[in-house]
Amino acid sequence: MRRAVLLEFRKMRRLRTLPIVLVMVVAVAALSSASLFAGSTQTTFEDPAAHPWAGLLLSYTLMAAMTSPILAAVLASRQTDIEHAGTGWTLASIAGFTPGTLCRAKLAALSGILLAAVLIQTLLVVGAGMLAGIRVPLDAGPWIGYTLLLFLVDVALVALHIWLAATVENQLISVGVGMLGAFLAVFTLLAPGAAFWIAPWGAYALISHVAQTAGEVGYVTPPYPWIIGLLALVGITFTLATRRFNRLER
Amino acid sequence: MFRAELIKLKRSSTWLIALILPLLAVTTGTVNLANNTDMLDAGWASFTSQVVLFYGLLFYSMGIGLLATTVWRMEHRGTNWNLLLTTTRQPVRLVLAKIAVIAVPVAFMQAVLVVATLISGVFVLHLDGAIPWQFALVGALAVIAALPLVAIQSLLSMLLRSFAAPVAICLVGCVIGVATVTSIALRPLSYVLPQAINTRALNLGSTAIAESGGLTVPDALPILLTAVALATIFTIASVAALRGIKLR
Repeated sequence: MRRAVLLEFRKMRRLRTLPIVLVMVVAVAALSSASLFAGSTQTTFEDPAAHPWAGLLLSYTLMAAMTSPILAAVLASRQTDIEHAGTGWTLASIAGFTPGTLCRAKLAALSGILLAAVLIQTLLVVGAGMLAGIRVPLDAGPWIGYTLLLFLVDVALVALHIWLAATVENQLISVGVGMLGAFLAVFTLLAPGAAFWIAPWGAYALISHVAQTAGEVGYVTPPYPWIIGLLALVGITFTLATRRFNRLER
Repeated sequence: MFRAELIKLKRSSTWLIALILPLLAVTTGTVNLANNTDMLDAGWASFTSQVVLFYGLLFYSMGIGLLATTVWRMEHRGTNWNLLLTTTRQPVRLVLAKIAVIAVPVAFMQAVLVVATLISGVFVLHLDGAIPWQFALVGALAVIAALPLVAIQSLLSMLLRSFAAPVAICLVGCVIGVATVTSIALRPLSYVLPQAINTRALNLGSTAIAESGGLTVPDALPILLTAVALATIFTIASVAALRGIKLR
């Protein structure tokens, strides 16, 4: 498995995965913190009651929900499509890596990239907040919690898209589902009641640690049992599905 | 050549995206307005603004990126490129046929958006006031405004074998586009970035984005002229790339 994961990292070099992720991370962080430099926002930086960090986290949550499902679909599709384009599945099987192992290796490799990406993204947003002059102490708990859950939901989405991209050769399905999913993710932020029903994209709204009620931004506790249940379900389904790949004749 | 492209298009699954994407925009806009009638109380103006808000910021452009890469996908398979290059037709005809064939589902997408918005406003939300026919004009203008993105995505999809690579580049452009539309300092860039041109065109007369411009000749004409000029430049670049890279 370790060799298969290393192989996936080598494939990424030709796929330009790192530059794509890096540009997206910087762009999403920049957009999330763009409102910090507006005059009306800067008046709240020294007022703890105005929750400036919560406002920034809300903006970050919206941008992440809008872009993460598409990024997950694109990364998974690029990493998996190469096996369809060449005779990758067959060649890897000859080398001892079954299609199931290959898919799990792809998930492990992309998870490593996503972990670094989400961490850097959050640090950039927090850094922008400090640079803009937020004097109120940082509420570390919600930020750490959101970053961790964002990473886990991203990994779950990448697992789903690797399965889709490996199952259906036409990558329009995988990337198209990612794009429609991004739409649903943004929508569930605006209509939180729908988030439970629009799985897995509704998870981007459910992991939110902030909410806006009557114009006021405040911290909330996400529904952890639901999120853990969803992640466990995706994990089990992905394991079973990739095992099934080993028995399929290509 | 265009007829051949249309036959290929007929058998692809692009229509699914072109249908679902605008329907999702209208559905989410409808639900959002129905849930926030106290804040969004400007009738048709609020409704059309809600429908095009996220659709205009990201999903319209992403849909175009996806349609372009799907239209070029079959040429990258097997030896199709070699077959295509043996044609006696001019490269410019191939480039124009591809751009035109991508524009067909884009126009369909806009038609679905406009018709579904009007149906939802009248029969679901029971909005007061006259039906805003100018929204249909915005929909049509957005098709012309989409031409630069259609042309550049067609060029990228022609050059890049990977299905998702042009979509990834389009996504980066969309994120930068959001910044150019919402930031005063970066706003001049929104006139030349294809994704931002789409956002500006779809939000003409909208109340959701500040200073998005009205549906007037002084606001719409610069967008349309820039769009046509950029589309021409990208078409010429595509022909040059086809001659210089593929036919070398």
